Parts: sequence; structure tokens; C-alpha cells
Amino acid sequence: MTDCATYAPMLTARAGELTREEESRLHAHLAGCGACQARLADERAVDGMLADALSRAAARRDFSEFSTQVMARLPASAWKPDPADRGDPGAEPSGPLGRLRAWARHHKLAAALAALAPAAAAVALFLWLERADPSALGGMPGVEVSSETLAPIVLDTSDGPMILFDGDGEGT
Amino acid sequence: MEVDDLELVDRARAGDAGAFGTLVVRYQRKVYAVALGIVKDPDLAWDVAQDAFVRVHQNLATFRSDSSFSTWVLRIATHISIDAVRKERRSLKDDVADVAESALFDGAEGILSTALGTNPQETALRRELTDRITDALAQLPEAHRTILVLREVEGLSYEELAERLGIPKGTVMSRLFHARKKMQALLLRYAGLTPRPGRAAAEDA
Repeated sequence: MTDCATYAPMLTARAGELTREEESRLHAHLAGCGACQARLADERAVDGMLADALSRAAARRDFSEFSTQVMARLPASAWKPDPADRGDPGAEPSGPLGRLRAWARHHKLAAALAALAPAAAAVALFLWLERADPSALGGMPGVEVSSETLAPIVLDTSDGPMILFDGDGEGT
Repeated sequence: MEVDDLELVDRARAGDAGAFGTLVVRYQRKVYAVALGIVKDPDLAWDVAQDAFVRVHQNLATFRSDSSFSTWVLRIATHISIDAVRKERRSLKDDVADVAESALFDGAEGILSTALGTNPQETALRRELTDRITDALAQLPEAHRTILVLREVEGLSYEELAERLGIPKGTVMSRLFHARKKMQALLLRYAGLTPRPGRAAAEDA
């Protein structure tokens, strides 16, 4: 019992944590003590379990608000304003160029859609023409003219219909 | 590529809020896990973890880059956790470990390892006990919870434990041993495995 009371606490020491003397005495005791061999086996069997359990408990928790809550508790004076206006959506950009950049950032999607609008209109028209009955589009052979409310001119070329828009609707 | 902790610390010191936020996100779960192990209550652990990062920020100027940021953060979290437990304890009765000291050498040795088998990662019992181990931890006295968490989760050495807890290495070893034995006795109880009476007495004779 007295020997076990001395050596059992050393069983979970990591490499280098015991003195050489402690280590050799522990090995000598362990060689002749079934109870301490069993204790060592128990320690090895449960090794890592506690760290696993606590990590799992942390992993189960929703941390999406954690850093925001921490940052909210820190004084705003600790932080330098970011010149690129990143991470501080409330800041007003300065100068006309800054305002334009800010607008562009906020309206990236709208700007992209606006840029695509004419192309989208052309594709829509193309699809509409594809489905339309060619005989309804009178005109010269090779060049078929369609007149719609927007009065576009459609040239039926060997590469497919080519659409020309005519501003006043009178054709070209 | 992930930015180095020390680089983020430097940037945070210079007033980069994003850099500090990255450090918080990087260590929040680890800090929470340590706090949870010591204070037991999940909501208190959350508050402690938040306090830890606030204190980290307050002391950024004093952080010396010759130690690792994670060690420093966890050290702060441990301090706050222990303080929080001691504050709570003033109004509550101290947590009582219901495992008697006499159970430390009670002949139970070897039962857990036999039950868990040679490939403990895969046994259902191991999974079941892992689910219960935080309950077991919560039943230990604060000093035992703390030393187990520091050893098992923070991975501190005997020397670091002695320094952190202000106790000699011999006390570190015996306190850890007692904490582990109590924990194992609780796990045996959860697993429905009871030690064979009288075996220890026969072996120790």
C-alpha cells in the first residue's frame, strides 16, 4: 500500500517529467505490482476522454455571436479606422471618388444586372424570333424584316438572325 | 494561408480590430472548453470565456512574444474561471466529492481498462462514458476539476502546473492522482461496474 501510494501518482507522468531516479524506481515497482499495472491500463483506457468531452461540448455550442459580443465590449477607441472602409460599414466615405466607390460596392449586383440588360433583351428577342413563324415575317429573301412595337430590324444571316435596333421605328 | 498568432497580436496592438476578431474566433472554443471544465455551468463558462478575451485585449501590451498566445489566453481563462468558482462558492455550499478517499485503493484497478477493451476508441462504452465524463467532472471539488482540465485540456506539464497552481510538484502528482481516481470511480459507477470488495485488502497485505 505505501509503495503504491508513492508510485501510483507517477504513472501518468509524461516523458521528462520524472527525475531519472523516480523513473527507475517506478519501473522497478511496476515490474512487481499487478495493481499498479492495472492502474496504468485504466489511465491509458480513459486517456483523452475528458479533453474529447469538453471539446465536443464546445463544438455543440453555437459560437456565431461570440466574437461580436466580445468586440462590442471593447472600447471603440482601441481600433484604428480602416482606410479601405472594410469592417466598418457605418463609416462615410470621403470625396466624390470615395462615394462612387462606396456606391459601386453597395450596388455591385445592380450594376452587373444593368450592364447585362441589353444583352438579356437581345437574347429574349432572339428566342422570341426563333419560336415565331418565319412566314409571318415578310420581306426579301435572305433578309427578313420583323416589325414590332420597338421596331427592331432583324437580318436573317447565315450566322443566324442579327438584330438591329431602329430608334424611330421606321427601319433602315 | 493562416496568419500566425503573433502577427495577429501585433496587428491587434496597432489597432486592427479584424486581427483581434480572428484571434477570438481561433481560440473561443478552446477557451470555452477550459472554462466549462472548471466552472461547470455552460452559461457561466460563456461569460468567463468572454471576460477572458476582454482581459486579453486589455493586456495585449504586456504580452511577450516569447511565449505562445494560446498558452497566455488559456492562462487568463483559467484564472478567471477559478475566480468565478470561488465567487460562486461564497454563497453556495462547497461542492462535495462523494467519492471517499478510501476508494482510492479499493481494488477497482483494471476494471475500466478491461471493460473498455484494447481498442478504446471504438467501444460503445467509451462513447457512453465520454458523454458522462463532464457530469463526473462536475462532481469533483474545484481544485480537482481545475488540475484535471489544466492537465488534460491545456496539456500543462507537472512543472507548469506547480507554477500555475503555486504548489510543489509532489502535490501536483498526488492531487492529479486523487482527481483521476475519483473520476474513474464515478465512471465505474456510471458504467454499472463495481469493484470487487476485499481484493485490495488481500493484495496489500
